[in-house]
Amino acid sequence: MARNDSQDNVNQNRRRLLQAMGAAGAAGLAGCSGLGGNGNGNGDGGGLPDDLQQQLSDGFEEAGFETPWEGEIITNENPERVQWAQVIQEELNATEFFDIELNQFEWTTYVGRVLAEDSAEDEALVCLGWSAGWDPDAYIRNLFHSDQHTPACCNVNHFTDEEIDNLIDDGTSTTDIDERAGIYEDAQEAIVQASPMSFVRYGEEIDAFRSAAVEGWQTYPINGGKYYSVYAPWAGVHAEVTGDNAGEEGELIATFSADVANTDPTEQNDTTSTMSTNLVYEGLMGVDYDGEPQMVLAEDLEQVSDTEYVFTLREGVQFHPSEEFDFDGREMTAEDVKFSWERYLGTTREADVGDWLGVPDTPEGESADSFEGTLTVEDDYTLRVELPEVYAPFQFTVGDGLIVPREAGEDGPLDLSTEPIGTGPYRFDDYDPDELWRLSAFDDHWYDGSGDVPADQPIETATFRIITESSAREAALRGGDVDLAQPPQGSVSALQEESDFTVTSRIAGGFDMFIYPMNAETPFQSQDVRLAVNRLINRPGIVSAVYDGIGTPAYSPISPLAGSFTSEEFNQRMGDEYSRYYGAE
Amino acid sequence: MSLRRYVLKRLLLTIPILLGVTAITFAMVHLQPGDVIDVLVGFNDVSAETERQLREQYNLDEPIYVQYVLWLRDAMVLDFGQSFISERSVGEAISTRLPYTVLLGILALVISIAIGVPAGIVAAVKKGQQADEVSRVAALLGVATPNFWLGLMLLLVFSVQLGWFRTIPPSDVAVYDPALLKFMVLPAITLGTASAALLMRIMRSSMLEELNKEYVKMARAKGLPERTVITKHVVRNSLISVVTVAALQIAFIVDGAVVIEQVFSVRGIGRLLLGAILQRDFPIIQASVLMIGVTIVFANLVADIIYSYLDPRIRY
Repeated sequence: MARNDSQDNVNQNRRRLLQAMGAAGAAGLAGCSGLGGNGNGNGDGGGLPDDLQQQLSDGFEEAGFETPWEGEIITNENPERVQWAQVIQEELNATEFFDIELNQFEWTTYVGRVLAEDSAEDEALVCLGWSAGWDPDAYIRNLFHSDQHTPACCNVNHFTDEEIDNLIDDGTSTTDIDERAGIYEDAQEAIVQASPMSFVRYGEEIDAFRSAAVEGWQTYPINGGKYYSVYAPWAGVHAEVTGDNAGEEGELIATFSADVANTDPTEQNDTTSTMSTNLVYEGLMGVDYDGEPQMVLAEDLEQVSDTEYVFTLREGVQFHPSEEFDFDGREMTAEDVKFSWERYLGTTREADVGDWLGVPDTPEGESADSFEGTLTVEDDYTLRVELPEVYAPFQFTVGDGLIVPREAGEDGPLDLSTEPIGTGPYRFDDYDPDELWRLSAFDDHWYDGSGDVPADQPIETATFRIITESSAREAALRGGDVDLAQPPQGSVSALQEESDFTVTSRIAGGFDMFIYPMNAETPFQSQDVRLAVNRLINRPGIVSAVYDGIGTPAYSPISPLAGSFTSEEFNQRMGDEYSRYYGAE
Repeated sequence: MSLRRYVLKRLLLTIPILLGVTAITFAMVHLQPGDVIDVLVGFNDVSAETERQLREQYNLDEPIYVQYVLWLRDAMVLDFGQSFISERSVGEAISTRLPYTVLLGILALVISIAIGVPAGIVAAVKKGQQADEVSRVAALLGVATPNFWLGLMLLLVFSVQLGWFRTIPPSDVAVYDPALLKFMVLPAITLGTASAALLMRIMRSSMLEELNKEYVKMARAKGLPERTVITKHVVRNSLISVVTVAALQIAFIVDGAVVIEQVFSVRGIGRLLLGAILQRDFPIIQASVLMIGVTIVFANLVADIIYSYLDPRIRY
């Protein structure tokens, strides 16, 4: 598939936004009282501190709007998102400046509106979630860089700031970690000051399992990589099931919250599909649970220059055999790696490889026939990669290009969207639409037991039951029919208190955000108004009441998960300086 | 008109009905905001050329009535095409799920009749007494309880707390497997209670009406035991209106299945339909709605045939 623009990251990164929109659960509405305007008893705006009152008046005057301004907040039907939108709505309407409605939309309709080409002219305040990962670039480029305006990607209100553009570009072309960290600190502060949106909360990745059934489970902070935890020798992580598990001996029964839509790594557009093949496909590298890049199918990586890398591949890596396609499996070579990466060109997942290998500019209506960078196969186990320009996060993202056999080419016998075939520790076993997805241990997996993880997969079968309703997932966990599930947020604290269950969690790579229509005919054209409203958002209250204490108030874009580039302290400082809730004073 | 001719006529009438149902669904699906192309490409920004190709591939570039005629042409020979999203065969998707919904529906109907009819009889016979009052309150509760909530409660009490049933269906078993039948009890109860409540009220009022009729006095006068009067005469005559309502209940049950299948993770048509609506997967929506339409039309036909059995005076 072709694109009519030259911006990298577009495809993959829109997915980041969509992933963050799906999560649903049930939280107690009761907790909301005592928040927002009610909590401060300032029904007439008289309760606002003078400086805030003044800032809003100045802003309204500057933008040329009468009070109260009649507008709307829009959100999709995610229950928690609706609740925090209500909290903000109440808070705004408690001032004399706003008269705001809240409107909810069904998912597809909502995304269509928010990501429309003319989204910047839309006068609505937008509630959204964003999901990213270990590298800081993914948190800011797509939302704030001026070449990411909709429909290219996700800069919804068409925020434009040359200084910030430069900082974002410097961030990926600077390889020195400390220097990069400085750049991202500057970029974050500049963004918070300009305030094109408010950051509300960093989420948490949560797993719950039956204590008697599962051992050694760790939560991977990035949703799409959740099931690495079954067996990831490259990360030094594996889990086991005991005799008290729900299924057969050696079988882990976990859950998916949606059906598996596609199993071809270049066509997967949703988190469940990605999770379904976590254990089936592998990349040359991976990022472990501490955020450190690790070798997976590569044995060694040599950086020859700023833009040139040489991978030495592991020997004896086998592809899974397939009866369905009459494929016996065989050893992976550098040709397969080259084939696999080039296969991403022109697909919806193009950015997974295009981010670092570069997608050339093409005239409207035409697609590129090759990436900008070059891949040279030197021998079966050596691959030289030349990038078109410096790409600092290379080691974090090269593993996104998943390795599949050459036989999956257009003329080849394999169809990966019917049956996924990779080199991973588990191979495809069974799929019943809307019912279950099953993987079984691959005996010829390359790992030889040289690390802390045993050479043979302790879990022989991994079965994923497809349960769309979050309360039904919790019931299945409590009823002992599944071993591991993602519970609704409202039930997490109850599960934590019961010894039958273990809950593991990590701060996630993403945040909830509240986007201002700063380029539409609204008072939010004024920076004063945006900065003042930023202080009307009671983030700690939202975290405790709406999310039952799960998550962290966010005052800056980059999640503390990307620990080399930001920190909880930095986030707190941004809160104190720019976003501190007025009610807390 | 003989029964056979009547059935034939009714069958012919189903053709315009189904045409209407599918045409309206088609229009509604296309009127809803949101575009399947967006879902297909994961909301990525694709070139106009790619979008054109995709539209062409799925006939989405044709005017809507042409799309409808094309769909109809294939549907005539039971070719429902491929899902836009998963690219799997729609016919197969429907046929693998249909047995689960049919099973759920039959069990729910059986439960609603098994509860509703006897309870209605008792309520009518004991009119004004305690049993009648209890049944009135129970019926109100049954109708007023959202089945989504009831399903979750049953799940929590009988599956999670008491452990009598599984919380999710057993996997890798056939539709007639005892383990699956056992699992289906809770969803069927959930689905059947609202209908049972309605049936009970209808049964009661229709019994009361019959009980006041001359022939009942006559039967009593000639010394028939009350039991025979009720079972042989009154109940049979009262059942006519109940059968109508029971047939209409099939529509409610199909309706409710959409929700219940979510709660109990049953892989039926309802779950398929809901997912398809959210993803704008037209071929699946169309085929599922057609399936549901056919079911309801035939349920009504069956009700008409049962009439003539229950009341030999009815002639078509």
